[in-house]
Amino acid sequence: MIPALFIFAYLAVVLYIGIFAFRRTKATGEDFFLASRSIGHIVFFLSLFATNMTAVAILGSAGFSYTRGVGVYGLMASSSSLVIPMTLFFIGTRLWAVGRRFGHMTQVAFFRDRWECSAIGTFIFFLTAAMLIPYLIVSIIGGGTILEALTDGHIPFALGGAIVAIVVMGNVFFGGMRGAVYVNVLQTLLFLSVGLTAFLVIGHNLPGGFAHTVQQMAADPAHRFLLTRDRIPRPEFLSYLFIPLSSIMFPHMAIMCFTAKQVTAFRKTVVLYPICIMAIWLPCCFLGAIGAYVIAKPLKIPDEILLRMLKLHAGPLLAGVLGAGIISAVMGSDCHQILALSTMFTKDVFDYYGGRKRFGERGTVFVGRAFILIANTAAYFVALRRPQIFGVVVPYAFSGFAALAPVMVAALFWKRSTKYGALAAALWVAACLIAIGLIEHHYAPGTTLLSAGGRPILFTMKPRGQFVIVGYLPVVFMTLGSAFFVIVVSLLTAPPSQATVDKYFPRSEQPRHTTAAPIVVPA
Amino acid sequence: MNRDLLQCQFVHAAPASALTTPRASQSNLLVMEPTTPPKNRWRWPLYALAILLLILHQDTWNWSRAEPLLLGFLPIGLAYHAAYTLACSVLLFLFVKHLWPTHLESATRESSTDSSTNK
Repeated sequence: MIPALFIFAYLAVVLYIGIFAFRRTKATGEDFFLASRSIGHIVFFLSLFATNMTAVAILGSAGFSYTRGVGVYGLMASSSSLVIPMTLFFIGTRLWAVGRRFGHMTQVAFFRDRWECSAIGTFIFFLTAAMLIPYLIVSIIGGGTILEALTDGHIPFALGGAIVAIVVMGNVFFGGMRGAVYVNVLQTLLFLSVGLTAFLVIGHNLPGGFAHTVQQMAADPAHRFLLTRDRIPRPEFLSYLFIPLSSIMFPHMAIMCFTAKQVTAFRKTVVLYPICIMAIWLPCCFLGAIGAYVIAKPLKIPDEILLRMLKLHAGPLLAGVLGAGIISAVMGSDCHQILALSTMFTKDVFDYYGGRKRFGERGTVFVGRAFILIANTAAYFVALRRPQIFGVVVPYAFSGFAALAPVMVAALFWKRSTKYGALAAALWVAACLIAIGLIEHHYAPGTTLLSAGGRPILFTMKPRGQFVIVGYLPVVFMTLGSAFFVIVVSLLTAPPSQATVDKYFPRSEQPRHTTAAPIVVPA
Repeated sequence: MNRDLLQCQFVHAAPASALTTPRASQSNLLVMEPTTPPKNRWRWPLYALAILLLILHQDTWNWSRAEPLLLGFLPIGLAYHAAYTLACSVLLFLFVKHLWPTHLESATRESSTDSSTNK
């Protein structure tokens, strides 16, 4: 029970921070949802990073490595190290600028103004909300898994998940964005420091250390795959290059971009981001693979491997501190996800359709809080079914958001893009997600749906039944298809008014080719 | 064909310090320069470097290799991608130093309300 005590202490601190933030929060929508766009550089970086670190990054990566080997780091982490900072550099900075300039608080608000649309924006809202909910569920599953594993079942999964859900809800309910950001700072510092500690302590306590263990694994034909990519097909490895495009499209990440006080906050963020990814993913993937060798009895739930390794080789005291570190990473993004959903519903639906005019700023904040309560409760009951983390997240949330990236790129960089191009892309993404869901639900793993010349074209992979096309994940075709529809349909339809185009692409920011001499006037 | 159809707005201002804010110059004259921004000689080399890094991510030559073990315990494939991650950080440093969109730093609020779209 010692680890659980540390975790409860941590959860109490999180709740306190939320209440502390509540006292500093003004009763305005912009302050509750965006902390009045006042987040400084260091806090912005730590919070943005915590927003992106989830149960997937911690437990899911170790669990995935447990079954597929250390190649999972290259599969997800190193590709994220390039793609995510690049999207922050190109897209995040420009999102910040349009948010600062025009007062946008959500992606949909930006799309509506950029393309002069209404119902299309509402459709994109429902699509993104539907895709964000699985991510929310992942966090609750992660929290419940941690508490159950660290207490040997004394705190059952259902109760653990409920505790995490309530603490997150309390922090966000009272503190809004300010509460979420303050907690993120604590969480990122905690996890970065304890992650390294866990790695060193487990390595020290492992019989023979890491070197001896890895050498034995390399010499053992049954376990050598854990050190290579023999269980990761090459097309799948390539497909995962598209997955990190989802990061900037996650509503909670985009909304975080709006909170920075200055655009220069992105400078340090994009440079340090890869290093922080490595600090978390490398130990987790490595320990997951090592765990598959040192723990003889196969785990029913691979996502528990990191916690099992902590308990076996780090002792209860350190396991408790490290457990708090893990749960901090899980909850860090959960705060933002639930707040993002609340922000989206309040601004894109309630306020947009007249709620703020009728009920005022206080009414807006009240609705935001009520939505937090309802959405979190619904997510908790879905989480009770406990699907394996990656199986839930990858097909739906990651793929869907990655495939919407061309829509954002078109909005920010292409004057000729239209609302119908955006709609076509969004419909394509929605249709693909529904099709994938139906296929994976209907067909057993290892089923070939379509083949040509004896070669499978459309099939479901073993053992999880993931649907692939010629071996590539659907995200590849979804993203390319989305780009295709944005371009083609935009060119076939009328653009927004010139006034709107000039508003978002002011002449002062456009490259010109004049050769006029400079005009000098007294200041 | 209308050149605006496919015109994309990737505007990079003059190189700036990587991790510090540029200082505003002081002058008692307002100089209205020609609107053509100076060409950034770093743009295409850094774009090419980013694409190269993307290609290098698919290290098929390490696929089934576990040895050599770097530092005695890191399989070569994992060590390669750890080094790759550090290379990404260096690349982003160069992007920030040479391609930072300084024109965005002056973004100010033009509307006092959040988005007011046409219904």
